[in-house]
Amino acid sequence: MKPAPFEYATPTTLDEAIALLATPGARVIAGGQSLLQDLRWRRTSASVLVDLARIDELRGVHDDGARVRIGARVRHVDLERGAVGGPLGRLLAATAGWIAHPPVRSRGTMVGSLCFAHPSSEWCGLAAGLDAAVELVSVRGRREVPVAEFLRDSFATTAAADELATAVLVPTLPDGTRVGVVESRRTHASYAHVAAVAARVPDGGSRLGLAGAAPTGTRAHAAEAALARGEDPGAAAAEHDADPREHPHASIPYTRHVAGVLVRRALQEAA
Amino acid sequence: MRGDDRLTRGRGRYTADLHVDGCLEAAFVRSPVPHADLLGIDTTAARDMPGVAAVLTADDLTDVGDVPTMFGTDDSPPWRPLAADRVRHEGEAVAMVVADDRYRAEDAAAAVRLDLRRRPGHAAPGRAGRTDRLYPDHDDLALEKEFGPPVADATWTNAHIVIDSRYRQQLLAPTSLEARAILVEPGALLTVHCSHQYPHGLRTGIAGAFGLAEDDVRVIVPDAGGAFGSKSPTYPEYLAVVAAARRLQRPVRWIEDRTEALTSASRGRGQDQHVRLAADADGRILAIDLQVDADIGAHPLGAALPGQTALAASEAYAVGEVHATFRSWFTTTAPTYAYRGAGRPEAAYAVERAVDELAAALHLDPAELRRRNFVREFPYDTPTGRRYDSGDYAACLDRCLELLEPDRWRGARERPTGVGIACYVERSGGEPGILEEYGSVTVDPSGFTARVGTSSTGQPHHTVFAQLVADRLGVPADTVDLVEGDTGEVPEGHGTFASRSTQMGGAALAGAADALVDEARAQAADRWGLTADDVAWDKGVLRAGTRELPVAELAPLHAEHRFTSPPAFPYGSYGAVVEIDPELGAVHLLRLVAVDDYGTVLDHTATHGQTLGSIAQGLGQVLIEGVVLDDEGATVMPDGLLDYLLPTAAEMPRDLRVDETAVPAPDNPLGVKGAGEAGCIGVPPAVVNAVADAIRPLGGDPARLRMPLTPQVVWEALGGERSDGEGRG
Repeated sequence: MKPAPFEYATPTTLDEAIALLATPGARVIAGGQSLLQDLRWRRTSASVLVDLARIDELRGVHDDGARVRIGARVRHVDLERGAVGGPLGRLLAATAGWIAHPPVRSRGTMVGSLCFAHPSSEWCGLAAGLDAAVELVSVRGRREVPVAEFLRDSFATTAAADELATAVLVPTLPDGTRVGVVESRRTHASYAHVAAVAARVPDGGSRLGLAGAAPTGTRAHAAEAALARGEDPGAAAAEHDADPREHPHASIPYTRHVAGVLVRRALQEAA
Repeated sequence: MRGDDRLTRGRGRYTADLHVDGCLEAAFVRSPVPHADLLGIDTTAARDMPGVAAVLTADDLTDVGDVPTMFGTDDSPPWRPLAADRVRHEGEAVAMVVADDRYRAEDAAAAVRLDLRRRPGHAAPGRAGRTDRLYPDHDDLALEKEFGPPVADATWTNAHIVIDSRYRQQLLAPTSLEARAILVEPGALLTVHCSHQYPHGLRTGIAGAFGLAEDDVRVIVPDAGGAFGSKSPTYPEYLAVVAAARRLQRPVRWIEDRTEALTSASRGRGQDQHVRLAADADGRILAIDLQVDADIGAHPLGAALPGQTALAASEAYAVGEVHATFRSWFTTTAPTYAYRGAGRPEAAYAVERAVDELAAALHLDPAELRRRNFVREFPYDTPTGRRYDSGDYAACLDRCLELLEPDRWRGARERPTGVGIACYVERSGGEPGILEEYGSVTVDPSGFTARVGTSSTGQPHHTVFAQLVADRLGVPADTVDLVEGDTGEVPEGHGTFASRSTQMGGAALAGAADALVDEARAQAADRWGLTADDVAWDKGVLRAGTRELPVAELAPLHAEHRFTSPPAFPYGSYGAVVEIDPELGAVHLLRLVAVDDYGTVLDHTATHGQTLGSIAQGLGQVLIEGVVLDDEGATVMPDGLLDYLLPTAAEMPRDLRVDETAVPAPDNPLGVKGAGEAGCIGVPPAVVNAVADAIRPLGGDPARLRMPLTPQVVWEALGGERSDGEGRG
């Protein structure tokens, strides 16, 4: 299918981009791996597509010691290849490796995935689990929104139509943190059914993120607490953290069950 | 490999690649619901949109004939190119926009307004739950047939054991890389470029619908990117495109996109099966009864195809009583039609799953049970009306077991592991009516031209057939050109499906090559004042004593052959070793074995490729694929190939062992049988039998295994949901 007509703009500065986004119906395109599909299916439309490809301010990653700032043009493959160092970088690289297949990873971006807010997005699960934040900029100013607040529902965020997500800010993980990510999916290139992301912080407990187990990526608070109490984190994740929707190939009981299994396996991988 | 080399390097030229000046592009407006009265279509806004040449509805096509069906019923309800007063499946075409490009055509299609009044839909075969007929003058039971005498009551009551099982063949989307594609150039000679398996059949279909002589229509098949059975009909969209081209006197092209292909194109399989086996205490099968209820969709395109399943109900076994029936039901779904295997995978699954359950119930080795029942004398007439031509089924199974090494996987293993086998017999070449093929060989000064009525949709005909003719003539293969897929070049033909191309087309070409040699010898003899017996053919040179004459000097010289024969019966044995992730239910293939007998093989590279591709599609059916509809026939998972998952190279087992045995076909001068469909027949029952073997020791219930074997299905068969809530995992 072919998209309905739209204008196409390639601003070179952030200011130009956010000015364009004040146009009613404007949409941002970065890697285009999800948006183009929805445009072709005519599920969404755009008066103007604002392409981030030429805005240098949105490139690269920056580590200030407490958080790593990942710009809106950073692709899955950049993170897969080690754009970020340390334990967080290892977790980002391992997670990126699960996303779709190499052609998608060579174009799609982490910030774009957060904005698309697919319930099975590995990045949404990781960002929620690590309490990351999204930086939003518009002509009205700049703000930072915690991911738990940013991800409103499946395919829905709390960003306003004129706001550009310029970066995701992910807290760094201390040296010695061990990480794991596991996923269930039906074919090598399909979306995740459920993905679990684990980071065991020395002396600091564990951080757990889930994708596909609920309408949005979630931090598995109950599983983390169970682990701290010496109880089965899998059972807690299945019962309390998972909030799945019925799917033709995955019933609610099955998805809850898988969330529990994968939380245990991610923790084992991080052991 | 001239033909394949071009295609694998991306140098193919497909219908979408053709440049024709002034060509318009078509887009269809399709029903968004499975069943509704079509009260009105408002095309006003669409007609005024930029670039739009025409918007056609049923009212514009009243002078076009009905859509023809190849495997329909004797009393098929009329099928119009565009729906007239009712839509009967989601995706049914109701209007067509023709514009100067596809973007503008879709913009205008989106502006067409349909006034629909919903009616209840029925996606399942059978009478249950139906409140509304699809056709006022036709029962929802479109076709019903019976094969073989009914099994005697005494056989069931006196049997040591009766296996009684029900299976579902899910609907599959054939999903060739290139979906449907057609480009029509109007004129005194109507020229149709179409990605098609059966160009002469399409010519007949179009000529019939428009009241034209067949000679007024030329069908050319450019490179075609796969078909798998789904590209042999004259589809309603094709008639609409022809009508638009004739009306506008402009070339018009329609390239089906993936969304259309997945919602509105024909689908394969679609059967509810009930199979019963009666056996004695030694595992000798006394009777097979197979009942099929098929969901054939809203139009009777493939109403008779379940007959292929019924006819195959004996599979590889010499069983005294075999009875098979099918009932084809109209459903508010896209038409169910041929998909690779077309009825034979369904039969093999039903029988081979049930045979495995019989072996388990009798605590017999599944291979030994099969050996006790194999057909061993040929020809063999099955109770349902097939005549098996030749084979050594036990030797094929033995080779499969050698490669499978079933004992190697027994004993302590970290995860539950199962071994399964399945044997099949299928039918290749086709059915009466297409059990004939045309071939010719022409000599001109530059070399040999072979013409044949088959039509490649990606198969290496250019390699295999050129080599076949060259070998027959004793000349280099690069002196032989192959022409097919063009009704202007090849006078008659039956195309490429039913694994018939080499069996029927190859035999026709061999006959034509032999006839050419005879004709050349006769003409040389005339020149020399000898008899044909005095003249020898030697690698393209006629010789008699010291006299010699290159055949090119006799040009133009032409010989034809029309080959006819009964069908052939290829067979095979498949084996699978699976490992189950007991927590998630995921199935991992540790080894897959395919041993097929295609009779004499002309080109092992070609048959190997066919086997691998068909294995991939078998893995798709058993593990991955399935069209998911709600009870009324509406699409539940609409996201194209993100939702309709396919096997890729990454899903192929790393330990894949493929071999062939070769018992020649007695009714074929080359000894060949068809090789196109084997894997998708053998793989599903072998894999499910292996999973059943893996879960039985864990207390799992094989009766709950249904295709596709998603992790959830296996988890539930292991009793997953029962343990839910009381400590998971």
